[in-house]
Amino acid sequence: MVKILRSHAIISLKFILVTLVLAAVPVVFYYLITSIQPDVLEINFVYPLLVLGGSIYYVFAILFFFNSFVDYYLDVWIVTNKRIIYIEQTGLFARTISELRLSRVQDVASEVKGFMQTLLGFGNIYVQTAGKEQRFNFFQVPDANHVARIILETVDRYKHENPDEQ
Amino acid sequence: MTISLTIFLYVYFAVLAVFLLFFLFIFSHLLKYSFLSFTTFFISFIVLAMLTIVLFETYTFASVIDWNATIDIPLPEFKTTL
Repeated sequence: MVKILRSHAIISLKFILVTLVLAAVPVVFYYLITSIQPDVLEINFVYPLLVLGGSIYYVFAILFFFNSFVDYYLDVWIVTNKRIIYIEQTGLFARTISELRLSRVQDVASEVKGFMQTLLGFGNIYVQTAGKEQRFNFFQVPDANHVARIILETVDRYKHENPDEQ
Repeated sequence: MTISLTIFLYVYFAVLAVFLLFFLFIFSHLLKYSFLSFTTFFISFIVLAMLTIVLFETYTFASVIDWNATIDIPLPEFKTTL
């Protein structure tokens, strides 16, 4: 069994909205300039600077969107019938992979708290471990209660099949 | 002192080259570490499409500009009296 989990897609709405706001800023700026001081565009270097500056700004906004998507998409929890793996991408140049054997799992708790979480059915899962890292956490995953139950059942089955590994 | 508008064009291309390098890096990250799925393909396509539109529109607006024109930058006069 392999179950791949990511944070709920609604989390990606944050950086999508920021990108849309970033995209709207030059348009508003242009309309402000043309309505308050339209003569300024007649100056010989202003229009070229606006064109190049606007281009660089939009390329930066696209880069921000792409980077944010990769940061969101590469944060992954993988639940198998032997272990739980958490891959966390922090920015572009930092990547952490944590692994937890199912034999080390002591307790699993799920939490769905708040209006949006309850409406859309996503929440946090806390896995209590016997290892050095006491808690292995899943954040804002879809259907948290159901996933927590699957993890518990998988842990119980693993411990039943491997009683010597505890 | 007079400077040509071409200087701004060179600066623009230099900054664009740096950004495009970042794009390549992010894209290779996605290919290396991600599970290839419809989502990654769709987002990559959207990003490439937006980038193409921005660069094409930049070319459209920039092609009507006379880049050989110069700007006069008045320098302050330093008066020396003996």
